[in-house]
Amino acid sequence: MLTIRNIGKTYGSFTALKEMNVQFENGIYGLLAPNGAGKTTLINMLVTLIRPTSGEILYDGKSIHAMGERYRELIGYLPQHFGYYKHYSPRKYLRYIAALKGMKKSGVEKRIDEVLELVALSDVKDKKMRKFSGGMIQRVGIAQAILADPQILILDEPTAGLDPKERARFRHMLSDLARNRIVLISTHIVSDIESIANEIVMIRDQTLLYKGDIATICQSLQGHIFETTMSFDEFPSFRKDYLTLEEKQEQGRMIVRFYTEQPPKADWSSVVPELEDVFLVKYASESMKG
Amino acid sequence: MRMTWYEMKKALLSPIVLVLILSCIGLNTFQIISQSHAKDEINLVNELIDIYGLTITADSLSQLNQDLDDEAASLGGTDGARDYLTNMTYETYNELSADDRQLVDRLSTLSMYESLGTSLEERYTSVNMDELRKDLYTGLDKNSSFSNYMEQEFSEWEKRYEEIIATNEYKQWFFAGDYRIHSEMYRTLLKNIAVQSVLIVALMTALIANYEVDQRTQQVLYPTKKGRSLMKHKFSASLVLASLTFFILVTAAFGLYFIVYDFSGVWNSVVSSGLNWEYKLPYITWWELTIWQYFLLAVGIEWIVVVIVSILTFTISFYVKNSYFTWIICMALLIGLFLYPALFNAFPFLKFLATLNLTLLLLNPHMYFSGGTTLTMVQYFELWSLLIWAVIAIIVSLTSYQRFLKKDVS
Repeated sequence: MLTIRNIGKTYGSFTALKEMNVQFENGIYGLLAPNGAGKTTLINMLVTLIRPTSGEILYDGKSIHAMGERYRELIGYLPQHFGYYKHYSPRKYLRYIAALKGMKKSGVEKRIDEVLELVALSDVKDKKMRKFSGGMIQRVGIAQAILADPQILILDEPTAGLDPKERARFRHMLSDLARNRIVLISTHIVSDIESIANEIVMIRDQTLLYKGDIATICQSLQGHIFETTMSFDEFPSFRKDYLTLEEKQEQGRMIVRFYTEQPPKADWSSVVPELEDVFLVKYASESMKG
Repeated sequence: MRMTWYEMKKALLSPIVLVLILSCIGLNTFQIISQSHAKDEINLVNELIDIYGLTITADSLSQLNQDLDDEAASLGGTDGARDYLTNMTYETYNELSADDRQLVDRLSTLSMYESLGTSLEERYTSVNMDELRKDLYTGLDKNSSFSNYMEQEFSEWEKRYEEIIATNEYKQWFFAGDYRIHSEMYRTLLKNIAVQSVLIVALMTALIANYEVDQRTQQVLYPTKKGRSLMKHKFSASLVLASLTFFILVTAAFGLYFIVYDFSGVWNSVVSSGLNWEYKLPYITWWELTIWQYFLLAVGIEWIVVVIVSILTFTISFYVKNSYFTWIICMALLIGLFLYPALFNAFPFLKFLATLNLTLLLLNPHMYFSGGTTLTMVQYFELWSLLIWAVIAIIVSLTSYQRFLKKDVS
């Protein structure tokens, strides 16, 4: 169990994260937050790249910093900006990372073949990465993260650059992987996690806003999400009065999905809240600021 | 070892490093070949040592003199070698056959050695120590403890000079001072190799240490099991490569040098030989050092300097996140070390402390272990300079590493 106990991080007078408390057990966790909420700071602390200014992070009751390499050998991490050696091939780079992860030399080649197969890069495993597309590089990043079969898999924006087919493959892969480990995925793309995450962790104002399963969090908006149809002329004034979540045009009219705490009107139809709605509603103030 | 090898490859496969190493080898080769026009003449001293022994004695000089007269007679000289050569004019020389001209050249060179050997005692014992002692006091406050220290050093050196005379240590054959062999070996070749090594090693070290910053791979590599202790492997890789680079340059250059110049007879001669007198003074070394001992020690000292430079560069790279800036700062530091003793001209003791530095050690291999009147010629100057800078390098590198282990990386 990974326990984040009352951690905070400040840089001078700037607070990146404060009084954060959360626990992770085996399963997939979706970390949702807008930019600047402290998501990457939290992840960087979990992978020991930065140290908290206050509080501590424990793995099975032991401080991760005190555990040192015994903790780091449990981690697989894909950073938001995955760095790689352009003149290396995926196989060569993974071989190097395997050495850094302390993997036994005898099993490395087989494992590299396995993970490259998983991310569909077997055909290009000996090609230099400088010729790779963004999506291929991201898949190399995923391969290195899962290379040592980690107990804690932390992925920061893992689907950036992946096409829809690759995203689907990635989701299937994660579902298989998550059975006996902690998987934490930080993303902006709600659809990537809503079908596979056991729980959602939301951060707002540099601290934990919510942690729980998708059904419960969606339930919190039950009776407040509606759809209605209107003409194009009516839409601008409607948007000023309500928080719109989705707009689409159909047969010359606007179909609008929106959030309100007002009693429903006759031409509104109540709809089942989805995770995307929760994200947009919870961070509405941030988007207004932006 | 596997990790160290991985890190070494990062610098070894850098085209700029390979080009620099090959360019330096080429430059040194050119330097040696271009200076080798008198090699046959220079190598003649080995024949002298073969026949008359390493030590110059009255008997061996007399025998040499006799043999030279005989050689002159075989060339048609009737009044001995000296007269034969004195009477040899440009026109007469050109009238000789090519073989005879070679014999005359040989006779001329051996005659020069005979002359040097004969006058050696008179010349060597005429070094005026009292006059040199006066130089010692330039800028020194005569009543200061530092002045006393320098006075004591000079007296020790004077005793050593007297010992060299008393034991006839200086009476050993070596290449004549006019050939400047000692200077060419150390002041030119070894110094060049050391400077080239420092330039390359600082660059390689900076490349290895900053590689992950340059490639933006820190966030991938530091959360692995090995984590930031990867820096230890980078450090070992830098030191191994520093040593490898230095010894590749030394082997390539001196391998050729010893093919061109035959040292087979002189290895056991001494640096303090009276013939090894190139400038104002002979090399009056603090200890009796044979040519091979001096060579190994000089190479050893330069190697340690290069390794210390590598450690310092590695330390700088903990703070400067760019390979080329790291290299520039390292070079600026070494140039600064060369210049900063001049800031203390009015304070001899501080100037002395400032001279105990890496750059001066790096640039003066020809003066190692030699006494004299300057601040760098005190006994154990090399040892103190190395110790001080090794301690500085170790302390700052360990402190920086400890800081790096706790530093935020993002």
